[in-house]
Amino acid sequence: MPWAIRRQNCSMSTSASEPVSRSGRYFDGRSTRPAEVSLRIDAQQLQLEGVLTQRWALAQLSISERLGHAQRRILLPGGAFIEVADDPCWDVLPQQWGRSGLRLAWLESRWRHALAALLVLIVVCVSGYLYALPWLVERIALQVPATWVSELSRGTLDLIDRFYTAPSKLPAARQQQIRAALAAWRPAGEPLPAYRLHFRDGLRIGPNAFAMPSGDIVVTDQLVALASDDREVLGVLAHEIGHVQRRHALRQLMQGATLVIVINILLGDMGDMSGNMAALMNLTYSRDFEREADDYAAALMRANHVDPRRLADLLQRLDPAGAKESSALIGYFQSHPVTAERIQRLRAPAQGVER
Amino acid sequence: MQEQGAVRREFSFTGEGGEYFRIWIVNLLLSIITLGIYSAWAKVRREQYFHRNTVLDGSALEYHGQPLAILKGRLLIVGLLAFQQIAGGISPVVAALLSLAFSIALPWIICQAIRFRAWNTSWRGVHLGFTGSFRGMARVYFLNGLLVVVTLGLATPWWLNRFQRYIFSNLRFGGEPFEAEPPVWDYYKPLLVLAVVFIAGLGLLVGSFFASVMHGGAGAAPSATAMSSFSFMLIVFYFVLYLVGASYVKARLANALWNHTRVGEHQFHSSYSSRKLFTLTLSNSIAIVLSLGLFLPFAKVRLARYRAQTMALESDSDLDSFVAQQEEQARAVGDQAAELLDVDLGF
Repeated sequence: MPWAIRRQNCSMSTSASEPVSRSGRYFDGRSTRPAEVSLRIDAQQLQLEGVLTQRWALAQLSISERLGHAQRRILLPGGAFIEVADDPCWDVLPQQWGRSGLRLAWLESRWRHALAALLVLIVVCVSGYLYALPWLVERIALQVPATWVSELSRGTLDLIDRFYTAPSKLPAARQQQIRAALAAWRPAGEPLPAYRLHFRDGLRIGPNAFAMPSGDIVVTDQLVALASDDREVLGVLAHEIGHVQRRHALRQLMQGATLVIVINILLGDMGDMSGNMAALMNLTYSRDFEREADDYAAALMRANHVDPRRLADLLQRLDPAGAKESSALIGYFQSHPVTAERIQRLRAPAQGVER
Repeated sequence: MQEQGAVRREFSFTGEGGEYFRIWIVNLLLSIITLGIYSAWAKVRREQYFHRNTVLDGSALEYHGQPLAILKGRLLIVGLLAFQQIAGGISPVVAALLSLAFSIALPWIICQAIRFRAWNTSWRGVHLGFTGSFRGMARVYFLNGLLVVVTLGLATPWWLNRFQRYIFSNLRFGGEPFEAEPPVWDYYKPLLVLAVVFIAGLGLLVGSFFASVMHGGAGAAPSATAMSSFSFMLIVFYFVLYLVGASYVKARLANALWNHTRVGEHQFHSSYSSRKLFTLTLSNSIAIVLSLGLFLPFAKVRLARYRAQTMALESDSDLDSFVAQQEEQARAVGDQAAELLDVDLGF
């Protein structure tokens, strides 16, 4: 019996007929005046002697939960109670939390239970963080109506235009060329999400591209200039479309909110550390999203007979230093996976897709 | 012996770090695998552990919070928090409005939290109570807060004094009201000392920096190493002052408050030592970091033990004459909000 409660040192359990004696302090529940009393308890009833002499059937009473070796209270009918030292004999009384109170006390009573709890806790937290939460959030996020998702980025494009970018200096014909090339792409599997392509002068942010949940994709003139071939630009756009298609912004938001709540529950008494920890842990998720968008881009490129290595080439040119170095520790603190790893991943698949 | 003089009764704490660790880890595990539902029961168990191990005159405090009431409050708070996270992500305007609404509701939340906590604490069958009103709390909080803004923060210790006075004067133990009259000066003194130490230390640092630069030759630009060692010293100075200052202010303010708080004829005594509190806090923090958080329950027990050891109740009479009063049940919501947002209630 896994939940068997041991009743050591309580002679009553061995010979049910013989009562045991204990002492306690009686309070009437209305004043703080204590009265020393002696108690006699057997398998059926509790007898009180002292300021008053009375007996109760055990079923009429209840006792506060065992909690370490803290004092306990036997609650009498009508609001009076008796303060008693903890004792295995009290297990025969009805517990305030019922059987589960005894189980809790049993779990809390041994160091090996604590060790087992710690191990299970670590396994549950790590697998929940790495697998269960992303899996669950993905299922939910893909069910959210598209119009709600686009609400996430309302006004963001205006904000970016005001502070970070200027109107594009690319000739309209050149812009049209890229637009048309992308529009001609056929989907790999499910149809492409609705997107709107915007060209901008990146100013200080330089060669870059980003997607908003609404499907607005911004690509900077500097990125177009950096590319040696339009297929490289299309690769980057495929990556951004991947973010939109897979609802990465919404998922990031939902996972981040869950982390904040869970960490708050876990470390309730540590206060404002939880926000920082959640932000740090959220970085792992954003790296996973980059990887997912890369995979999406690679599949889309292959379906249109473009070698995914085109995207890798552009990444290499974007970040020549990052393409060489690779360190697990640095990787943990970056929002994008180290460039070297992404390039390797994009170059790995089968070759000869381009005609 | 003290025949007709005042009798001093010390508080004591009977909990042990290892014992609480085992309760804590079971609480955490059950909270996680029930997706947070159990956290309400875990809270009750935690509060009960600290209440039932705090002993005065042979009797322990008792905590009466109901897990289901706490769970309801907790679900509401989690809902609000999730809404705020998502709405804040959608629009900064909504986020700003939400935090404004929250700061207006803060006195109400504090009021509810104190009422809930007081009513759920008893000793020898008699409950604490809180008679403060939302209106009174809002007046103390905002009207006095206005003075803090006008004086550019100089009135903050005065504001804290009024705020704590209001809370503690509105506590009752059974039918017996608390009286709290901590002097304002006792709130200013530690902060003034801290300010003087800060200015003196900063002056000393800057002075020695310039002295070393002058020594290198008048008119010469300070070397990079001198600059970096100066900024390193500055950071160390800030950090040490922050650690020491936090313990010092906490100890002084708690002593000032409790040493001027009575319940009926019974006078509280608090003898926190800044130095002991500092070494305790520092060693706790180091051990928590080194143990990746596993020392947390031990740290809480150490702090609770020291708090109890430094508290006493002094009176001419015995403690037998407190009588219970009928009391309305407080709602759980406020307590939960206060806990999640880490409002220090001064208990």
